[in-house]
Amino acid sequence: MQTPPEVPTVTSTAATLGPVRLSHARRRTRFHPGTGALLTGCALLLFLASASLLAPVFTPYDPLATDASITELPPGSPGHPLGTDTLGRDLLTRVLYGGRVSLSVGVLAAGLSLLIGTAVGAVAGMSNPVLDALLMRTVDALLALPLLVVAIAVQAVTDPSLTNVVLVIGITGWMPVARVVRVQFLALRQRDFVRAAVALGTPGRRIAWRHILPNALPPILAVTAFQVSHAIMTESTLSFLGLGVPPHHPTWGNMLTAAQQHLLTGQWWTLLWPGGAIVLTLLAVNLIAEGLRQRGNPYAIRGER
Amino acid sequence: MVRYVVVRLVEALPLIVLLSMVTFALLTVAPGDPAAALLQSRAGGTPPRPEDIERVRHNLGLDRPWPERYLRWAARMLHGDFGTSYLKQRPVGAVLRETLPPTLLLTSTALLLMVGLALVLGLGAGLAPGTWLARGIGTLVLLLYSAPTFLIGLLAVLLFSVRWGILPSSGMSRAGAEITATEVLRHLVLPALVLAVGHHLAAYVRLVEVAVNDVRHAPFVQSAVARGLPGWMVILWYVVPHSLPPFIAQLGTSLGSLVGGAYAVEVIFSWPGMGRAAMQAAAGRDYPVLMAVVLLTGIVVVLGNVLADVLVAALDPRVRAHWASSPDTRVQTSEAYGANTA
Repeated sequence: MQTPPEVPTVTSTAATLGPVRLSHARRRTRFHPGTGALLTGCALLLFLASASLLAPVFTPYDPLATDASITELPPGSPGHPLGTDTLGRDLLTRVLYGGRVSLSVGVLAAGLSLLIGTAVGAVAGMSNPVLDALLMRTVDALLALPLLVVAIAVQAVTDPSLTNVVLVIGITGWMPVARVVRVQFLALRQRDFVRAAVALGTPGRRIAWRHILPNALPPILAVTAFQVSHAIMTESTLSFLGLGVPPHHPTWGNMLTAAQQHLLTGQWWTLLWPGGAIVLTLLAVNLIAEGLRQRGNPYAIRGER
Repeated sequence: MVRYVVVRLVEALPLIVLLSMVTFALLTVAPGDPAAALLQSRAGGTPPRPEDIERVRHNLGLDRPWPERYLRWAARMLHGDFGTSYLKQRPVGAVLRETLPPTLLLTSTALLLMVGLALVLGLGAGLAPGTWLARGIGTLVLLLYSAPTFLIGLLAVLLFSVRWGILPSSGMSRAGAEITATEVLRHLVLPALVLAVGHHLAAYVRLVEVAVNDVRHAPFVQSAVARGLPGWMVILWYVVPHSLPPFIAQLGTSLGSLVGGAYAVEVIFSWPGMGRAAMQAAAGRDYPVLMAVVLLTGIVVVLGNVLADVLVAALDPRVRAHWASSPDTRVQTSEAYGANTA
């Protein structure tokens, strides 16, 4: 089964390299693990994001306009394909416009987490062991807190607003990012190209920005994608509990607060549309995150599973 | 081992202090003047005069600098005096004593259910990689991971309570005179199950799956198979114990979000626990109750974390050895296991 050596003088080398080269060639034709999940997630997210961005194209209604004559229409009613809620607002319209709020809160909060987490993680990974230990113990300690409960307490005291929701979720969500960034910095700091830069007298800040950070991006992106999913989930939970985005904004969490009151009368559609939107969005983001995580590891070997 | 426990407890102390400072700060910046609120409630709703407010503020020590107020507040908390609820006109301590047991019952049942489910699903997926079973479990778990706990709760109410009428969606309240064990159980099933499958299950199933995959071909498992042990015995004696330490470490770190999920579940199912009390307090701006609940939840979660770390150390000889040999180079259990789950 071994490849016959082409040149007799390099027999041993060819014999050992042969199978390796073969499997390399076979691996080329396959996708890197995680590509399928990544592409599926991207397509789904693109669909959801463009649907909510182009909401006015799909529906002629105002998400806030109430109409007492068409309350609680079931799905499939003429002009209201997904039905209406108790105040006569078109559910398709509200789901689409709600996507704008939910998606932007998720992305902005995760962006804030990314900024804080990268800063803390980079400082911990670049600095002396004492500061590093101090920062990481702080991260561990903060992770041990019930952060959703803390967010609930903060939201209960402050006036509800979109900015507050983004700030609270962003500030309680940076710790996993900091951990990943630190580990990457610690690992990359030992690599030859960084040592070379140090030997050339490159200032630490420039090493962090130009040499380490770009190489650490794949895992950082993966953990940030998980934070987006976490932020969307937290926003919907806070809004559902009445402590998130102010109720007059159409968000999926706010729509579900209303849905809860009508569950007992069996109006399943007020639950299904926003709930389905949340699950689809989180599924898309989680697929992206999972794909990034798998692709972020160039040493992942295909075939072993 | 004893030293490990003591050190972990001492390390948890600053965290509890930090948490108490956060809750105190939130109480301080909360809108509304406690002195005015107190006077108004005593006078039966008539707005108090400014000089009265000033006098009460002075009597209560509210005009002192914040470090002094914090220390007084903390001392009162340590003596079991949590203040008075604005809404219910009764000591916060009584509210806590009433709501803590139901919450502990709900969360511990959910934890047990979740551990069982995760072991079964994780073993199913891990022992037969690449089969339709493993793929099915993977899809189910990803779907569950993408649904917030409260959404699963709403769906469960819609299906089990409204559509099929199998289980009650609410009504587990202390108003009734006698509460029988079966009644409690009937009301417990649905919320506990929702809390168990909501959001957390996915991470644990994957942990078990990975651990099972790790050891399936390990020499100690192979030798057990070679010695002719039946399959179930190999799994129970050799595979499952190996998957437990990372599992428990993860339990510790995600205890916080479990409790957060419990808040939403308690609201949906009208469970008479701390979460529902906190949400009622938040809606009614009853800050003493809210902050006391938050602080107590935080302390329970922090102590739960310590317990998880200690359990890991007890179960995993490597962690124990690290700790026993040289405390300086000890591996943080959460870090040792958290690195690949992050």
